[in-house]
Amino acid sequence: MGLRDVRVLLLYPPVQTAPGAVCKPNGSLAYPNLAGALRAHGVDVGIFDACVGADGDPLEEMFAKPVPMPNGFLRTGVSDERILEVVADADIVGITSIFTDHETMVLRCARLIREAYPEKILVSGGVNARSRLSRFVAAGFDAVCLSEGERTIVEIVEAVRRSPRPDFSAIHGVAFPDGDGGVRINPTRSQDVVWDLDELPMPAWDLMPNPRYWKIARPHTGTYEPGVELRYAQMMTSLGCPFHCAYCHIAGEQEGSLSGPIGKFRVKSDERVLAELDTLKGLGVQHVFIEDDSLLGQKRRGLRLLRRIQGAGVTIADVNGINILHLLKRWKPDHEVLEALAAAGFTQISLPFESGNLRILRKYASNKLNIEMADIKSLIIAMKEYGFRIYGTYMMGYPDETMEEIERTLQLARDHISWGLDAASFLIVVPLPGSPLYDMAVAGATSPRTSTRTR
Amino acid sequence: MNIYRANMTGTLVPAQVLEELRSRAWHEINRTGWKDAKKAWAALAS
Repeated sequence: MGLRDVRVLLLYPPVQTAPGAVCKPNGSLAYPNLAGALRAHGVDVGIFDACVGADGDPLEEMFAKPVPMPNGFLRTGVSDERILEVVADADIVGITSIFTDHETMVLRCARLIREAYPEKILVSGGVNARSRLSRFVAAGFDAVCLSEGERTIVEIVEAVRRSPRPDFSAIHGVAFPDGDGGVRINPTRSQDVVWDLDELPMPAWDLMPNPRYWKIARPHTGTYEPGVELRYAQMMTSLGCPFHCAYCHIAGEQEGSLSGPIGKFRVKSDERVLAELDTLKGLGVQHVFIEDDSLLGQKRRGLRLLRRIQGAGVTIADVNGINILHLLKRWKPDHEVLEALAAAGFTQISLPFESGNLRILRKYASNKLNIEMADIKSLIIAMKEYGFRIYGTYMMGYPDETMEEIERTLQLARDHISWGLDAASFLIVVPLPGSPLYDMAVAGATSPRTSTRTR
Repeated sequence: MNIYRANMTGTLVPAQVLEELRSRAWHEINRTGWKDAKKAWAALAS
């Protein structure tokens, strides 16, 4: 039996934004990574970001005039008709769902495509999708990747090549409708996880709508002048994190979970990172956003890498925050690290303080920083002397957090600003799907079940 | 993605109070230049 040619289209849906909030395109690394894997396998693959569109779509008008939606949010992106036109010649449509606040538009796009094209194979993935399987299957998805998808998407394509009504039952790390109104789950095995990240194909950044991202200039973090082109891209030098905080999905990504143990900290080689930087520079990228969850998770390796990328010819910002502990040595600023960050081209760094209370940090944030021992004033002053723009993030509303504890966190932020911090972001603790906090909330416990035992 | 809304029930500090605290803290603690930069990017229906 001959195999069918299969075309894959990876779709970022339009973005819905609360009035008054900043609309930023998704542009996550999921698609460069998946497209790179598919292309290495000889698959015809394209990427379409419905938030920014492609040639012929009115980019500036879409961002200047977002469309009010019945739910009170504003929609930025191309029309439904345009989405259906773009996906028309694809056999498989992938829609990533990493960010929970994008779920509504992901499911809406799935229903739209399913109704117009019943024969197309719809695939999703990402921590939000795998944590909300019944919703995704009900919306029309044929398969949900449960873990890092570079290998799984290739196996899905092979199944579709064999048959337009594919059988996913032999693929590990995937969930799909069981044909009886339920969801069949093929768990991820430890051997399905890519332990040597250098084995992953080079991400296909060239398929992203880079000129449109650069024109709109709204990366995930940092501040940049509106209307000024920003030639940026994102990359990761490591996956996973050595910390397991209750509000983070990584804490749930362990052995025996749906995703398998992808929360384990894994790194790319220095050579691989340099090759990725070269690829980005070849595309005209001038600003690189490091999306690692813990860039200095192995501090010696991190320092070595920073020295290797000196002179790479790009500026670098850290998006997800560098663990503050890694910027300290015996609770004082670690000038070896700060110097290396500056020399490597870092210009903007986020500092995830999370809370001003040791009790909260110990209970919910892996005890990752002793806020009472750390000399944060000296750290902030030192970071400003090195020329970094620095932002602090602070969380409030942990389940059993008192008003006095919140006030302590706010006072900490005031102190940080007075010492030179450029800006403070305040986030309300939300039990995001995939995190231990979400499981507690769904179980009906508003505080961790261990709380009564540890008092 | 910034989270502005509280959605847990039963927290010691109620959701509405948390949202008011968050908003007030952001405006009180941040500098004018930063707030203006953020506002310039805000999505508004035309």
